[in-house]
Amino acid sequence: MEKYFKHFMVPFIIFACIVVAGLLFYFINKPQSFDNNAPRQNSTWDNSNVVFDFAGKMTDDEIASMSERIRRWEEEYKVDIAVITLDENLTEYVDMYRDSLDYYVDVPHQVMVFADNFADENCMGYNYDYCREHNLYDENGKVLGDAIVFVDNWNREADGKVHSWISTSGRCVDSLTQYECEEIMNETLDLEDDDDPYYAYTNTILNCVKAVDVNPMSGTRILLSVITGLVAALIYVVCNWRSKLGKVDVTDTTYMEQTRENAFTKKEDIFLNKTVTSHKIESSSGGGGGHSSSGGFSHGGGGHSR
Amino acid sequence: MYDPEKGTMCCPHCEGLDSEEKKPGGEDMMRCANCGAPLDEVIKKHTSATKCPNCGTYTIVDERIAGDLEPHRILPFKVSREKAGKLIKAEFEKRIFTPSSFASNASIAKMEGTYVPFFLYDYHANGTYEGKATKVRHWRSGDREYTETSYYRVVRELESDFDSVPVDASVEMDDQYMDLMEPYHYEGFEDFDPKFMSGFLGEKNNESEEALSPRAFKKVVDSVNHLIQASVSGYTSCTKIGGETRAFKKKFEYVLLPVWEYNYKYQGKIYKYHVNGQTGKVVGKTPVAKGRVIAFGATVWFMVSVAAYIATLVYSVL
Repeated sequence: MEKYFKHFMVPFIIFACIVVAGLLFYFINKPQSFDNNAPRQNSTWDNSNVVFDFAGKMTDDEIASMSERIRRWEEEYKVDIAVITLDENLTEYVDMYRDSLDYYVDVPHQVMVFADNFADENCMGYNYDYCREHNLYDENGKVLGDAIVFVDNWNREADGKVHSWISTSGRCVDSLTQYECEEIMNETLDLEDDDDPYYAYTNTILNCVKAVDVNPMSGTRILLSVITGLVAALIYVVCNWRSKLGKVDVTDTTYMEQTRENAFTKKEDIFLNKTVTSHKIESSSGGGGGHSSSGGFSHGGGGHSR
Repeated sequence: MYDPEKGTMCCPHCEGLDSEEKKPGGEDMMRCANCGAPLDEVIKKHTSATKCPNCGTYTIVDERIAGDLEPHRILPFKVSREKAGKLIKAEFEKRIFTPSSFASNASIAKMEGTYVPFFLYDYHANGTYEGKATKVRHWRSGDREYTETSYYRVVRELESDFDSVPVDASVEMDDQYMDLMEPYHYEGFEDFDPKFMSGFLGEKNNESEEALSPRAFKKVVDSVNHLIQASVSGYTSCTKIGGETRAFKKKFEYVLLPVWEYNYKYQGKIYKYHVNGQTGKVVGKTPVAKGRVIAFGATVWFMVSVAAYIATLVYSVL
């Protein structure tokens, strides 16, 4: 026991300092961030309508049922949600915004522009007012709360496909990555004409909100911390295991009469020839991650084509 | 008894120096000269000095250190039992997963000093090496990447004498442990005198020098090859295309080298610890107490997990 405390005395002191300093910093700064138990704070976006079935793919009962569920999830997960179905070509719509977009919009991403603009223009965000009052801006200096907008455009485009997009904003950008959005839609949106959109959309939104992190005591953070601790403990144990018998103190020259340099009677490095070859460097392209909408707001999300 | 710290004979009872070197043991070496107890159980095939299990008196088996079996030289103990015990404890302090009963005072007191038989070989060695080496350089110019490969012929020749390469001649002593005990400082050698063995255990050589010389030969050849390999540097690759290493035995010497032995029994298994009786170097693998691993590991896990969680909290409000 004495050895234990002697060994951990310094780490215990450092640990105590980190805990005290960290918690102090957190609680001093916490009031400035959104209270997860606070009610919705958005006086601009009226969330009484959250399902916009412009394509007419659902019955009134289904729309009412979905709206009710979405409102419940909005309260539970502290995020504004909108579901929109379209059945129109968006090329002309996107052309109107092309000048304000700093990237080329191809056909599969036209629905992304629509979804981003819907969130921006309607000032969506569960904590929109709070962010505005406390000057909480995104990386483009725009106020934007936590929201998810799902758009499914049934119009079959020139590429023969139907495109969908999940647009995220606020904290949803970090907690619902492009990869996760695409994975969710790959699982839920492989719809044929006679399939049930209501069931598919409900599952899509449910999977999205489950992925959104609302609580600082969330499983992801705890899991991450536990794994970090396990890795550190493993490294500590391996480093202290000391399975070696002892250190080798004998070198190659320990029993040699001559010194290392004197022992060599011949050392020759003779240049023979040289060859030079060349090849063209292939350029690589990359992409992914967040983007900005025509209004300059930061969005995340991902798309799906079927 | 020989006192390593005073460097002379010393009576353990009256502390008189240069006292009687050896108690006359009579004709029967298989009985203790002090209490008469039979020693046939402790005098094994290669034992040259032992301790009476009844009264603790040390006995030297004269015929096993005489004639052809007489060592040429002996390296007397410089490290006492107490110092060896302290060295083991100091080493144990660094090994945090070792059981707490390890190196206790009671168990250290049972530690024995042993003179281990060694052969010291002198060799003359020469090695030649021929290889084909490359140096590769890359650079970019515009949209093209260039690779330049230069080829070299590498030649090395090494010739050297190797003096007093030690090989232990004890079957009981693990070769791996004995190799790690090296190096001994040979300037401390004395002409063989049985008085240095007083108060210690000892063995005669278990194997002949012919049987053990291949180990010395391998040590010499490995050293030459390593030196040559180390001299071939600065290349991207080097492939051996010729050369050989040879070693010729010049002479050998039969000596006794000092080793402290500490045996620790843990969960039915015996763990051996050795201390070089001249330099104090400690060699041995300590047992691992699972309870300690769990307690220490869990403490680190808890502290790092909590610190990591607090870090995520702090990050969330930044």
